[in-house]
Amino acid sequence: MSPEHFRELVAGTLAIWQADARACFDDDTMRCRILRGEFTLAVIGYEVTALGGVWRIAPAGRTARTHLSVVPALAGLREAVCPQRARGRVMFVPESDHDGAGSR
Amino acid sequence: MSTLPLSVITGFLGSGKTTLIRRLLASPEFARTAVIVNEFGDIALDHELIEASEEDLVELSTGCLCCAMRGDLAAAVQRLFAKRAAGASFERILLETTGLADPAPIVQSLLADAGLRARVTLERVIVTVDAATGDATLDAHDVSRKQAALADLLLITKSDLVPAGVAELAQRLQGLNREAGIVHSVNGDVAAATLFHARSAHRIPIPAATHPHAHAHDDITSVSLEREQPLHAVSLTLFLQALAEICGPDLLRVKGIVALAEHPDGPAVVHGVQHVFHPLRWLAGWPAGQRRTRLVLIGRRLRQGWVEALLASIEEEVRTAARQ
Repeated sequence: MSPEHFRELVAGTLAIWQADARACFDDDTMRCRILRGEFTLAVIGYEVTALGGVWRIAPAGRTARTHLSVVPALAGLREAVCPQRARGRVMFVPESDHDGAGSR
Repeated sequence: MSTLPLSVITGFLGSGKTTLIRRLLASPEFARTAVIVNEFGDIALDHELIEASEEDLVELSTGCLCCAMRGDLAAAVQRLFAKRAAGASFERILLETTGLADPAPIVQSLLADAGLRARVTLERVIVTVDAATGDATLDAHDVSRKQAALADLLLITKSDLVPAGVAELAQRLQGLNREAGIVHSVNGDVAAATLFHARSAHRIPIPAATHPHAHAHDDITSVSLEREQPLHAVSLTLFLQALAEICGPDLLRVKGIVALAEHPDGPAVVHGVQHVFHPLRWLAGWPAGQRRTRLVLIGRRLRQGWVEALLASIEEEVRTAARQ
C-alpha cells in the first residue's frame, strides 16, 4: 500500500464517520496519531512484513492490536475514535429458486 | 411463476408523482398497469386522483411505507396478485410512495423479501423533482436528497414554469447521482418510453461546471470506479462487505457491472441498497464490447480517493494471500 492510500484510508474514514478527531500523519512513515484536541485517541500504523501488510492500532491506554486486513483495522479505529457508531453489517440476499434465470 | 416488473415512483411532496402516474396510465403502453398508492395522513386523496380501475389499484393509507410498513407492501402485492388471479389483467406495477418516504427500505424490501421477489422484479426507481421548488427542497430536506441519490431516473417536472433553472438543477442532481438519467417533463407530459426504455435519449444537456457546484447540504456524493483489470470474486465480496461495515447507513447505493477474473464471458451485475445486496446476476456479454468494471457508489461523504484506496488495499491483501 502506498503512503497516499494509507493517508486517504485513515482521513477518508474519519470524514465518513464525521469523527470528532483529526489525523496527524508522520512525514516519512505510514503512521499517524488520531487526535481530539491535544489528546491522542489512538495511534495507527501500517507496515509490510513477511506475512504481508500489517495494521497496528493502539488506542490510548489500551494494548495495541495487529490486523492483517484493512477492514478489521478500521473497525479497531472506530472503537477507539467513535465507539458509539454502530458497525455496519452487509447482507447478501440469498439466491432462491425463482432467481434461476440469468443467475448462477 | 414469472415475476412482474415493478417501478417505484417517488419524489418530494408536490413534485408531480400522481400527475406522472395519471399521464402514464392514460398512455396505451401502460394500459395494463396496476398501481399501489402509499398515502400518509388522515385524508388520503392521491388514489382518488389516479384514474385506474378498482381492481388495478391498491391503496396503502396506514402510514408511510418506508417507516414500518414493509409487510404492508408484501400484502399489497399479494392483494394485487389475488385480483390478477381473479381476472384483472395487468402486466406491470407502479408503486407511488409518499412524498416523505425514504425509498431505501422500500427498495431493500423489493430486493430482499422472498415473498416480494417471487412476484415482482424491481424495474427502476423514478424520482420526480419540481423544477420550481426542487433546489430549495434539496436544501431543506435530507429525504429529498436521499430520494435523488437512489434514483435510476430523475424526472424534473414543471420545467416549463422555470425553464432557465432546469439546467442548473439538473447539474446539482447529477452531483448527487451521476449515474441516473435526468429527463424533464413539459406541461406534465413525458413519453413513457423516455422513462422506461431509453436511457440516453431526451436527457437534459448539462453544461460543464466552471467551478465546483457544491451545496452546503449536499453531503451525498457519487463516486465512479472504472477498471480494465478484472477483480477476483473474493475481492469484490470483501469490498462490498467493507463498504457496508465502514459506511453503515451512510452507504446509500452501489450499482454497476464488474469484470471478474473467474467469469471472463460476461460481467456480474452488482446491485445494493445500503447494506443489502442482491445476488449477483450475470450478463451474457459485455455491453458495447467493453470488458471493464464500471461501478457507481452513492453515499454520504464518500471520497473518490478513499474508495479507490480501499479497493486497492483489499486487492493487495487478496493477492498476498494467494501467494502464500
